[in-house]
Amino acid sequence: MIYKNYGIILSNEPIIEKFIYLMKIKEKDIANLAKPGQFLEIKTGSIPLLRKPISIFEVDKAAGTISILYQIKGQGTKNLAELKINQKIDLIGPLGHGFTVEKFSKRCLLIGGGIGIAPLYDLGLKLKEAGNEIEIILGFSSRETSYAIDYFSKIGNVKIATIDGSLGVKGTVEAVLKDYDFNTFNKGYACGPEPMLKYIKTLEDNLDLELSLEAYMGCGLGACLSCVCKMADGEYKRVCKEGPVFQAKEVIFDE
Amino acid sequence: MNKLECILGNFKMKNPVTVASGTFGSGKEFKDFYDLALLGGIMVKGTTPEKKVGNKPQRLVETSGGIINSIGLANGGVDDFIKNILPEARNYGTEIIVNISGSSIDDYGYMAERLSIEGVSALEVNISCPNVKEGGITFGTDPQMAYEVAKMVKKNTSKPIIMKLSPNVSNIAIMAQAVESGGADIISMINTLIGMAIDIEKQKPVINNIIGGYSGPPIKPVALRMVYEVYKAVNIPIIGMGGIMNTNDALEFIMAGASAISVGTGNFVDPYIPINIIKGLEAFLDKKGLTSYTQIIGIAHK
Repeated sequence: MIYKNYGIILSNEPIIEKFIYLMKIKEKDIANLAKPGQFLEIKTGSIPLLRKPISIFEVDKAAGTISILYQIKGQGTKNLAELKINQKIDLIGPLGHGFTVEKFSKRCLLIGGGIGIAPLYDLGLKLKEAGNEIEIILGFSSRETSYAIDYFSKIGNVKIATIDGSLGVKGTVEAVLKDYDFNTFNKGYACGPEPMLKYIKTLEDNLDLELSLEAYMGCGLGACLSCVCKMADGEYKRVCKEGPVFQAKEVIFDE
Repeated sequence: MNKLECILGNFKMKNPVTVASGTFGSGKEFKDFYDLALLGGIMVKGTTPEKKVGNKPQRLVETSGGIINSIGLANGGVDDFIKNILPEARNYGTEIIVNISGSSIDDYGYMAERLSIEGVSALEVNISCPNVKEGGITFGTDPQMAYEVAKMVKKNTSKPIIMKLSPNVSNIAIMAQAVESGGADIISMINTLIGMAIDIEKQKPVINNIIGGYSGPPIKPVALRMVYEVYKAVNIPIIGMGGIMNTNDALEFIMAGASAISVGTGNFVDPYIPINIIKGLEAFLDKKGLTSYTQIIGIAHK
């Protein structure tokens, strides 16, 4: 079931001013059905015309709330940052095919780059609830532009990579994953910029991997066929419907 | 009496509100929002003789308040449509209008014949695609070619034929007259306007195919003007579309001469727009003391 409902904004605070925001919304229907890795299509104002697809960061079914962690990128996210407590917000969701959550025999590895870390937090919470031990690798450009590490620290051991080396290992998440011992893991999940996902895909022989992809969307409902991604069998699949989460082995990044 | 009953020559709908091809899939994706039986009809995603995977992404971008798309007619082909999509769609309780495309005149004849089956209410013929056999000239920009397509489709089906006009021509009335004399029962208009957007950081076109079809609110005045012109030029009914977002927009098209309307890009913004328009049209008729919306079709010409 997909809902188009108005939620009520409970909080909308910058984590880093003009860059990263966390919004908590009361909307019980969507909260009740949302699964890790799913997203919302949000109408942010009269312009942009199209809704903005935003990953769900955290869900509290009991409280009937959903949180989103978002980065200011264009007019749509700028509009979101200006919304105030108690304002209504026009949501469609939950959308898309999310991550697999079950009890695995070995540890789970979560790998996030930049704002791609957003859908991994709810996933981590649910994996932990299912009894898994979790390790997390987060990549940022610098200490100053890093965020939400405190959240992830609550669900497992966190390793950080920054491009300038100001926090954790210097480099991308690749610097942490190089020579990594994957024997203690049997499941990995990643979300982040395409170059990062391309690298993560090279690890698919070591680890059963699920990737959450990003694509420019029209409707978010599977109707317009805009947000497609190339599959290993030469077919295109819709990131909004069959995705955003795909098995790493399914996707190819040649385009 | 049903104030919104819509009679388009040999084609009847419970109301004049439809959803445009390519913006609504086959309906399945919108089933959670409302009962599809409320709609006058669904113009399903464009179908071609063979399966098409579609264009390389990026396929869509928002620009200047509208969107440009270049999907490349991605679809499973007519056999897949008949086998896997139609059996479900025909039970939605609304008219199923199948949008067809081809790359030769013969393709259109083949499609018309294949789709002359139960469950298909009417055919909408997309002529905004290149004629591969005739050097790539778009069927929809050459009156003779558009006439030939209409004639070929007519010859191969007894279903109502809706010819969808391209706005990318210098004289839309001539195109409309060409398809009317070819045997079109209805005209739908307009298809998208050809446009482009450039990414100034990457310094190249945003859409991988470079150009695409522009749609949404910014094209409404252009579409409305064309409906107005075509209404004067032909005797067959018009299904008007182009940037319709609300009841007011729909009424403008009806007053310009459209006997039915279609919501396209609006479905991406708010899936309830078609339903809101149905309610809004009823409310408008009540307010004006009218017994049928047909009383205001083309009224702006008087």
